[in-house]
This record gives sequence, C-alpha cells and structure tokens, in this order.
Amino acid sequence: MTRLAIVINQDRCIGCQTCANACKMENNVPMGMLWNRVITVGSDVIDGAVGTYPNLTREYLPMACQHCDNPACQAVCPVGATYTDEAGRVLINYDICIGCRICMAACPYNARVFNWEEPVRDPDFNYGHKDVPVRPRGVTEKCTLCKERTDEDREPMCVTCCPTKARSFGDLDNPSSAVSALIREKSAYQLLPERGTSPKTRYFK
Amino acid sequence: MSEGLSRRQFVKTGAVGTALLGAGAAGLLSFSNWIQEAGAEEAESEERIAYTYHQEHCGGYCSLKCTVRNGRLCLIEPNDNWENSSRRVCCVRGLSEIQNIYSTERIQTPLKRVGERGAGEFVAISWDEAIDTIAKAVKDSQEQYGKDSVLLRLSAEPKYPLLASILGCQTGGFTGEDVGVGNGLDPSIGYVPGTWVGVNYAISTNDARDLVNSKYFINVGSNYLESSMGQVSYFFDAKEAGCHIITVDPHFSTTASKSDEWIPIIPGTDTALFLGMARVIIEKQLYNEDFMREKTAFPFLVNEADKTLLREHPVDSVAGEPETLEQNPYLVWDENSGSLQPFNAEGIKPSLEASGTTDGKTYRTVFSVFKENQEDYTLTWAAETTGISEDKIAYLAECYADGPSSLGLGWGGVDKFANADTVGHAAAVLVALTGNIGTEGAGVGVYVGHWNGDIINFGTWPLPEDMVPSAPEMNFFEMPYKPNNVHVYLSFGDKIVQETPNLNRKIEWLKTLDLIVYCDIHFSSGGVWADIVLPACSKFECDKDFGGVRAGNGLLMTQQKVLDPLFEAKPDFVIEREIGKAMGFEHYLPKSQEDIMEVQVDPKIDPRLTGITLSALKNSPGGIEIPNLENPRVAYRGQQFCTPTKRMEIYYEAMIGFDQQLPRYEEPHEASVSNPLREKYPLQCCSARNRYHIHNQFGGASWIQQFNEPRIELNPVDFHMRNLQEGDVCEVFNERGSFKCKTIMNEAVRPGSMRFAEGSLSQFMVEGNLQNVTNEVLTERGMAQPAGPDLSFNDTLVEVRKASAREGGAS
Repeated sequence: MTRLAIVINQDRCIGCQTCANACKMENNVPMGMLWNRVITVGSDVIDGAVGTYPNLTREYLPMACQHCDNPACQAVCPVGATYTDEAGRVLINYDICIGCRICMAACPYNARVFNWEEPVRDPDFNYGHKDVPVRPRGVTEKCTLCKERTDEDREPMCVTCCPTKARSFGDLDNPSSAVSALIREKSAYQLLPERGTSPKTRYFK
Repeated sequence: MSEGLSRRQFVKTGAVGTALLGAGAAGLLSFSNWIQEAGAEEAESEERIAYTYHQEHCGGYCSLKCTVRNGRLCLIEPNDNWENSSRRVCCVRGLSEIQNIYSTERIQTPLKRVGERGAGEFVAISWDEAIDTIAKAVKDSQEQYGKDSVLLRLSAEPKYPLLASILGCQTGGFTGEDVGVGNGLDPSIGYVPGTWVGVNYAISTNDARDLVNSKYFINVGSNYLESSMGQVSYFFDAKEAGCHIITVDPHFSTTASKSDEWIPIIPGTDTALFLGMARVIIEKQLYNEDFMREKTAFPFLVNEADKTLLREHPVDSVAGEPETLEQNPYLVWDENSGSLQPFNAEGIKPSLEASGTTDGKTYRTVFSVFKENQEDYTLTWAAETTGISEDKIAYLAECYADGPSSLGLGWGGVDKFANADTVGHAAAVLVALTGNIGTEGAGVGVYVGHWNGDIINFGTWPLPEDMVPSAPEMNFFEMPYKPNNVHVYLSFGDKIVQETPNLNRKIEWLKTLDLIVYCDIHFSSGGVWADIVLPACSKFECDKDFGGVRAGNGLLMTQQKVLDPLFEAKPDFVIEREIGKAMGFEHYLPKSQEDIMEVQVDPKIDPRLTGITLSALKNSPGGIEIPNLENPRVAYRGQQFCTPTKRMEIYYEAMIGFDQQLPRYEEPHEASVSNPLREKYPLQCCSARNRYHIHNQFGGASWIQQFNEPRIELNPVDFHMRNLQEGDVCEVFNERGSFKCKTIMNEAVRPGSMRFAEGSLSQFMVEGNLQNVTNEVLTERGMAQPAGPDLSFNDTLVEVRKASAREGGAS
C-alpha cells in the first residue's frame, strides 16, 4: 500500500502564505477560493496574537485537506464522488459531484470550497499544471496532494515552494521515508483526533 | 476592472478619443485583448520552460523556473537546478506574479497627463511621442538652466546604468534610507572590499548562514522573518542548532513570535538598551580585556580639554594632505615601558585605564572616558527609558558577553528614527567591549537579504570620459526645502512618494517643476504627479532571448525571455537606449542587452568568475553556481578591521562637535515619550515592513490582496479608547497631513503605536498616503556623517480618529 502524506513543522512555519499561493497557482484555483492557507490560531486577524500585550503567543497552522484515513466527507457523499485512491489521496470526481455540499458540512477541518458561481480567474486563463481538471460551477473542490505532480514522483507544490522548508512529503507506509521518520522522532500529531477521521497530514512543533 | 480604472482616476471613459481610454477602456485593460494566445501552429498544451530572476530589492535574489503554455505564464517555481538546496527559493510575492504581471494595475501604454498634476488624469500616447517629449524637455532645460537642471532618481529595481551619464544630470546625493544605524556602526569597522560590509548600511559582518555558529542571536529592531523571505531557513537552521534567539521589538512581530524570547521595547530607545547593557558589562567586568587592548581604540588617549585623541605630534590642521598613521600615529600608554608609545609599536601593552599629563594637557584613555560617559546611564535609567526591566537588560548583557554572540540590527525599525546613528554607535561599543566579531558565530549588523553574501563585481559599459553625471547640487530629500536648480525630474520606480517623508511639502515642490517623468511596471502612488508615464517590463518579459545577468545568493543568474513584453511595455534596456538615441548619443550605447552582458561577466574584473563563459551562462538553466562561495562570510577574520588603525575605532573624533564621539543617549526627535506634542498626537507612527510588499511593490497584486490590504492597526486598548468598530475607516493625522484607511485591532501591536505597512498604495486606501504624516527631520549631525542623514519615518507622532461616514464612504 501507499499512503502519501504531508508532515508540517509548525515551528518553522512563519505564516507567509507562500504555500497558499503555490497551491492556488498549481491547481488553477479561482479567485475567492483557496485550497490551502495558513491560519493564525485563535485570532481573527492574520498575524494576530493570543493573550494580552505583552503576554502573547502566536501559532500558525497551515490548513488544507488532511487526507484522512477515515474521511468523513467520503462517508457522507451520497453519490460516491469523493473517494480514496490507491495512493491514499482523498479525491473528488468532479463529473459525479452534484454540489450538495454535505461533505463540506461533514469535514471537521473546513478544507473544502465550493464553486457557487462561474469561476473567476485572475489572470483570466487556466494557469497551473496542464493536467489539472478545470472545475465547473456547482462542484466542491479541495487539495489533491497535487495529484498531477505526485503522479510524476514530484512533491506537491506547497512543499516545493515553502521558503522555510517546513513541509515534508512522502509515503507513510514506507517506514524509511522522511515523513515516517518525522512522525516517529517528533511525535507528529493529528488535528482533531477525537473526530475519528485519522488524518494522514501530521504536524509537529 | 472598471474598479481599477476609477481607483486610478484615469480620464473618464469616452472623454478623449485616444487609444487607452477611448472606446471601451475596460476592454483595452482586459487581459485577453492584449495577450493573444499562441497561434494554431502551437499545440494546445505545448509548454516550454524558461528561467528568470525576480525583483531583488528584498535581497532574496530568487532564480525562478517558469512554465509558459500557449504564450502565457502558467507556473512559477524555485529554480531547482542548484545543488545547494538553500538557493532553491521563492516566496508569496514571487508566486503572485502569475497574476501581477497581467494586472490591470500595470502601466500598459505610455501616458500623458491631461488634468491637473495629482488628479491622475491621463491619455495614452505613442512611445515616439513620449520619448520625444522627454528628450526635448531635457535638452531645453539643460540648454537654459544647465546640465544639473535634470534630476534622475532610480529605485533599486529599474536597471538604467548609463542614463545619468548620458543625460549628464544630477542624481540626488545620499540615499536617506537604511543608513541610520550604519552611520553609527560602520565607521568603527571599515569597508571590506568585495562586500557591502562597512558601506554605512550596517550590513552584517557575518552573513545569516553563520548564525548556526552563534550561542546567542540578539535581534534588535529587525523583523527578519518578513523582511528576508529568501533567507528564512537560516534563522531556523540556527535555532535548531541550538542558537538561543532573542528578539527585541516594540511589536510582537513574526520574528518575535518565532524567537526563543521576545522582549518588547519603547520605540526609538534602543540606544538606551545598549548603553544599559554596556553598563552591566563594565560593572560585572564581563568585557574582553585582551580584545579591547589589542583590537580597539579603547586604549587611545583623549585630550580632556578638546576631546581629540593624542597623536605623536599636533595635527597640522592647514595641511593639504591628512597625515598618515606612519607620519603621526596615535599614542597609547605602554604598561611595559611606562611610557607613551605609538599604538602599533611592537612589544607594548597598551593601558586601558591610564591618565596623565603631557605638554601641559591632560589625557585619559578612551575606556576611562567611556566609563565616565556611562555614569549617566545606570541600569535603572536604562530600564525606565526602554521599558525593559533591569533584570532583563542585565540578562541580555550577560548573554551577549557569553559568546560567540551575534547582534542583529535594523532596517525597518529604530533605523528610521533621527537618533539611529547612536544605536549603531552603541552597538559598536558593545562589540568592542566583548570582541563578538571576526570569528564564527560572532557578527553584528543587518542580517536581512543576500547583500550579506559575497558581492560579485561586474564590468561596466565604457562611455566617453566626459560623459558623466553632474555633481549633486544637494541631497534629493533637501530639494523641497531649499532653492535648487531642478526643472525636470525623472523618477524610475516610484521615487516620488516612496522616499519622501512629509509628502505634502514635496508636492508643493513638484508643482514648480517643468516636467515630471515616471517609469515603472505597475502604477504606484507617485505616478499621479507625473506628466509623462512610461510602462516598463517585469523580469518575466523581454524582447530578445536575454534580459540581463545578475549575481547574488552565490549564483550568477540570467534573465531568459519568459514572455514577450506585455501590453506596450518595454524592457529597461530598450527604454534607456531610446532616450539615449533621442538625445543623439546612440553611437555610444550598446546595441543589445547581450553586448552589456559580455562586458559585465569578466574574470579580469572579478577573478571569482574565472572559467565561467558567457556562452556557458546562456546555455545554463537560468545561471551557474559560482564556485567556492559555499561558506558563510566571516568579515574581519583575525579581528583585523578595515579602519586606518586596523582596530575598531569606536571613538568618533568627527562627532566631537555634536558630543557624540562616544554614544550619548538622545531622545527620539518627535516620538519621544516626553514630547508635549503627545497631548495632541499620542501615537507613535510605525511604518512597518511586511512580507507582502517590497516597499511599494505588490500592493496591487490581487493574489497578495487575498491576505493583505492596507489597514491601520491598533492595539485593542487604543482601539476601544477611540470607540472604534472593526472595519471602521479612520483618519490618521498630525500637523503635516492625514490619510484614511480601514482600521483593525491587533493585540500584536504595541499600545501607544499605530502600525501601517509602508509602501501601501494610495489607490487602495480611502484617501491619502502614509507619507502625508511622516517626519521630515534632517539632523545637522546626519549631514556630517558618512552616508548623510537618515529619513526618520518612524520618528513620527499621530492621532487616529474615526472618519465621518461621508468621508469613509468614498473609495
């Protein structure tokens, strides 16, 4: 088996949103939508802080589809549009998706976005990887672990572009992969483990 | 897109029957009318890869791999051809170019002003008309008023290496920016050839890669993790290697939040922190006596009466040539022989604390005078002045003395205060006390950007000897305040607003000029004051195969053609050549960019380029890694300094007239805690750098605006005190002027400060510009310093109030 995953070193994350734009570019994501972004935990303001000056903390949390082993989105999809592929990636078949958005309600990570309108791109052409499917109005979309790149044995674009090298990519089922080693050595954790979704994405500090 | 139009207040659609704004301006501004897809001969999904380099004023020097499909830029990635993985970098700004180069904020055609200056009303004109207008105005002005009646200001990105010489114009003297701390630090250590160390920008002596060797990194007044996106890895590499990182900053910056410790400080008081630390180092005798004795000016002898240093014989003040140290060395008191000896005599042991009388004059060592200097600067005083507890200051001093330690300094913080030179000078004294310099892990200065790396010297295109710029009449920043001869003002990049405190005063001056030309990629805040506007290409566009060559980050990089010029923009090289041609100097100019590259890449100029040929460079994937630049730079190895005495010359005789021969604390000019002006304007105005801009660049990029739009940031305490609501439009004001923008609260902002991103574009604010309120002070002392005075944007007080509904409504 193969279970592709991203492991993120939160200590090295500086909230710069390079990964957000890398993803947007590679995957031809329209304006008003992001598949990936960095959240400032506990703050409504990007680069805000928790506490009262000068007793402050800040934590950046890069957030995208967690590619769960037990994906809630997949379980609730009434038409089987969401599926897990042979590499462990949770994907959406846009031809089947009926736009009911039950998956969005089910996802505890708020990782999915929906095309309410005809997608508006700025610049107004299809940028990104040439093989990324263009999604029509009325379907849900999200991180694919850059399927088109990872199928070519390349890293997802967010990993390639991260200026602090906070992100690692690899196969969780390969015990000698970098991601497996990080999980072992750094006790990398899952988000919201109590939800039983068992994300493949892991974080450590 | 019509929004883009109204923001910029171009002539109303249909007003004039010109190309840009005649029939359907919105149509013309739309991307698809300008950039046709490749013809049918190119297969639907045909892609090609090209390499270029990105904007460089951040110091990142990123080399980018670009994928072009159907003639359009589709992907940007770090160039992955470098063996050294730390050179494979890009950032959020670089990726935003996917949109930004096609933006409606681009200057798309040459423009001519048709309304009042500042109204932003323009019509499109042809390149021929634009160039002819400029050439005629320059010629007429120079004929009537002289060569220096033309002023050319170039920002960091535009590449016009020959233009000032071709025009014989003046270029405006000192930079006014980023030199504050350097004025105080760099004279003590001196210029290191082949680097930027010692050129008065306070560039760090060791580069950021060396921080892994530091036990402590005390980072004062630099938001490194936002200012230096290309080098952020080095910060974490150091931290993971065990370097303890402490950031001193008024705000809880990104860098503060990622450091092991954050110590907040009252803005503009960093000198007091350093003097307090020096006091602790002296009292606890944490100083490095051998270093002070052998490698610094601490043993030199100060004349009690006139504060000059004792030399072998009196300095002949009317002599034409200054005496060399061989002719007239400084003297020290030699403990071995019990006599005065030249400081560089063999076998002596210079005393650090001697005093005595010779020729009827009383002398004491610099160290003794410094200790007396420090009597005013008790730990209690330092704590009160900085707002940092005595314990913390003592702790910082102990950490710093327990080296190897590195001391990081500004750009973007206290260096934008009128007292910034005293910060650099006090830092120099801390270095001189502890010897934290010239070895691995012990550096001082600004760590931001690859300016800290090795500088490769390029050859320059030869022009006739008499073809040179005019001598500067004065510094450009003095021009709004002093009579001068400038009639034509050429701003390549936005040098109209970006480098201008108290903008309203400058505008009064602008109104008196005969012609203002502005050339840029995107329309920036200053463009509205121009008479002629020229569209320049981004680094992704050129008309020939190559757009240039650049060195940085250990790389010799090329700008390959990614795209043909977009809209009607032209590459810098072509614009420079066309102006030169119109002036009648075509025969002196290179015919192509490649002619210049041929001259630039020359091992005779820089032997480190030996073995690198231009043809190899052109055939490479975006450049070549320059051999032997893998190791971090450690300047002043062996603690040999590039000063006349080879010692750290921390005693500044040139500053005696200002009582700053040793660092004396001076309150901020305007933003001091005790300034009575605070009753009216209680908030310090922080012009902050952030990761989303390089100064005024990228403010118009929609992919950047997803995360960052201009906004006034206040601590909740100040926010609630003014009865504001989230998203209110507020007015920031003082006696100089005001601006209006959306306001948010952020706990990370220091109470008592108003934070606003410098370089924010006027057209995305409700009204005005940050520079309407910034402090224009020029200190007399700064005028006497090696890099001239620094512009004190942060040394400003303001008040914030809710804008009325009517005022807030217009956007």
